[in-house]
Amino acid sequence: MVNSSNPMRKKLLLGWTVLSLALLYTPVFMLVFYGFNAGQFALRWEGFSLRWYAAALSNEEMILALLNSLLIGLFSTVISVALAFTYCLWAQRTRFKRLAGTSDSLMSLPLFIPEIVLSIGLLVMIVRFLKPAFLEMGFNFDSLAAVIVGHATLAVGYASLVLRTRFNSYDIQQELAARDLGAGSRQIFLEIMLPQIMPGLAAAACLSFAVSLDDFYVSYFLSTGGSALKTLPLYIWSLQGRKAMTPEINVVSSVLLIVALLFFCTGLTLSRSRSSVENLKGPT
Amino acid sequence: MNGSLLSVRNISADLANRAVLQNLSFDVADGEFFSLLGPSGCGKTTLLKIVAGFLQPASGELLWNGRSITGLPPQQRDLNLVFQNYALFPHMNVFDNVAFGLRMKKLPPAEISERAHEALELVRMKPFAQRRINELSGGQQQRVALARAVAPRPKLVLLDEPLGALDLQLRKQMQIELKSLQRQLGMTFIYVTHDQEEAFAMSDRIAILNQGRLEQEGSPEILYKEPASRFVARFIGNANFLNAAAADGLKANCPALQTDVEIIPFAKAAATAQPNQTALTQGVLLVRPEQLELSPCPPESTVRANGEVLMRQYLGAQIRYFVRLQDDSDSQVAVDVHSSEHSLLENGSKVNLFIRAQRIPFYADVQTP
Repeated sequence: MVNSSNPMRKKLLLGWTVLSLALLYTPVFMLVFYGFNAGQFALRWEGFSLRWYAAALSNEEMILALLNSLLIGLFSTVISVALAFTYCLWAQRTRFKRLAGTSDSLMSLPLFIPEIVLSIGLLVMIVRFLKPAFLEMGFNFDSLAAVIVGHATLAVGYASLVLRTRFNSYDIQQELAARDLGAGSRQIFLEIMLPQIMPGLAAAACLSFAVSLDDFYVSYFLSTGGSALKTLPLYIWSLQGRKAMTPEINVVSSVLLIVALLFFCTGLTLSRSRSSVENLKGPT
Repeated sequence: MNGSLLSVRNISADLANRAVLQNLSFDVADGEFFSLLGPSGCGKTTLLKIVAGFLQPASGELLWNGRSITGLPPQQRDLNLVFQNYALFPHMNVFDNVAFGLRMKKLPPAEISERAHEALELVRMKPFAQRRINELSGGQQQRVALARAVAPRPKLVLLDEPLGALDLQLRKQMQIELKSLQRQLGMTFIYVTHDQEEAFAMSDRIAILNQGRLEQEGSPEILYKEPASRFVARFIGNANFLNAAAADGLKANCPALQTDVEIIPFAKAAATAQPNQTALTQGVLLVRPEQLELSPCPPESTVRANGEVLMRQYLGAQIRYFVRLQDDSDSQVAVDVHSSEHSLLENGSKVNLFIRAQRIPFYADVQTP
C-alpha cells in the first residue's frame, strides 16, 4: 500500500509527477523555444534571435491566415453561443424534463465524435444541400461560410455544456417575482437574466472561439485543403509541407498557442466562477 | 370591516387535465389578514397564482373593488407576492432588491431611496442595505422578500408559505412580526399555509381548502367550534369523533343520541351539515380533547367505568390521555386535562368520562338510499 509518511516514497512520487508534467510540456516548450532560433532550420539550434518573429510578423500570408482565423472564430462564436443560448432557454423551461435530459446527452455527444468523421459529414451536408440551396436563393455559399458553419457546429456542444451549468443555478422564479413587481419582458431579460448568466455566456464564447482557432480537420475539409481559404492551423500545415522548415513555423505556432490558451483559460475560469445563487442559504 | 377588496367568483382551474380548483368563491375584505389553509396539494398555491395573475382560471372571475381583473397581467395588478423560496435577485444587494419594484414604477430616484429604506426599516433590515443576498441568513432573506413586496405599497400582499423554511422559534417570532406589520401598514394580506397553528396565530379569517374545494371560511373561533365538515374538524386542532345513534326507549319529548361516553340530548347536538333533525339518526359527534373530563374510578366502585387509560403524554400545561372506550370497543379518544389540577394516572387505570360542552357538532352519516 502507498505509505505517504515514508519520505523516500514521497520523493519518488514527486519525481514521478515532475516527470509526467515534463513529458506533457517539453514539446510545447521546445516549440516556443525554437522560435527564438537564429539559424535557418527549425530543428537545429544556432543561438538566440528574434529574426523569425520579425519575419513572421511581416509575412502577409501569415497575417492573412491569422485574420481569417479571428474572423471565422468571431462569426462561429456568435452562431454557436446564440444556438447554445436558445437551447438552454428551452431545456430549462420545457415541461418535458426527461426529453431535456436526453437532449443534453445528445448535445455533448459530438464532443466525442472523431473530428474527421464530423468533417466529412459536414462536407457532404454543405456540398449536397447548403450550397445548392443558397445558390438557388442567389447567394454564393463560399468556403468562408462553410468553415464558419462547421466551426459553429463543433463549438455548440461545448458552449451548451458551459451555459447549461450556469442556467442551472439561475432560478426562473425570479422572473415571476420581477413581473409581479412590474417588470416587462425586456426588463426581465436585461436586468434579471442577463447579469446572472453573463459569466456563462462569456465562458461559452471563449471556449467556442478557442475551439474554432484550434480546429484543423473541419477547416481542411471545408476549404478544400486550404487552397480556397487559409486559417492559421492550415497555414502552419502548409509551411510543414515545404522542403526546409524554418523556425517561422515555431513562431506562428506559438502565436496560435498563446491566443488559443488565452481564450481557453478565460473560458474555464469564467465557467468555474461560483455563481452567487449557489451560495444562497434560503430554501430550494 | 370595510367592503371587500378582492372577490373570488366561481373560480375553477385545471392543471394537466386535472381539476385543481372547483368553483371557488370567497371575499377578502380591505385590511384583512386572510389565510388560505389546506393540506399540500389542495390547490392553494394554484389559487394564489391565479390571484397574482400568473395563471388564468378555466372559468370564473376575479373582482377588485367590484371590477373584473381576471385577464389583467401580473404587472398591472396592485398586489405583490412573497414567494415561498423568496425568489430574491442574487445579483443585487438588499437595497436594490427592495428598490426594484419602485424602479419599475418609474418613481423619482429620491423617492425610491426613501421608500426602499423605509421598507427596510419596517422589517429591521436597514443596517443590511448594502449586503449581498447570499450573505444573509434564511430569516433575513425572508425579511428582505417581505420588504420588497410591501415597498411599492400595494393594496394586497400575497404570501406563499413564507415561513416554511424557518425553524420553529424564528417562525413563531415572525408570525408576530408579520401580523403587527400588516396592522401597521393597513394592507390586506392573503396568506397561504398548510400549518393550522400558523393560520390561527395571525388570521382574521381563514378559508379551508380541500381537493380544490372550499370546505369552510370563517374566523378561527368559528372554524374550531363549529367545523362545517368532518374534514375541517379533523384538520383544525385535535378531534375526537364519537359514534352516535338515536337512542331508543327514551321519552319521546326528550330525544337523544346514544354514544359510548354518555347520552347526549338532541338539543345539545348542533347538526352542522344537515339542519333537519330527522337526519339525526346515525353519525358522529365532535368532541375536542379539552371538552372531555375524566375522573379516576376506584376499583371497588359499583359504577361501571366507561374508559381505560392506554397512554399518557405529559405536555407541560396539559396532560393528554388516550382513553379506550368500553372494554370491548377499539374506539379511543384523546382527553386533555390541566396538569396543575390533576395527579397523574397510570396506564390501565379505569376512568369515567364526561362531556363538558354546551354545543356538540354532529355529522350525520350520508344516507345511501
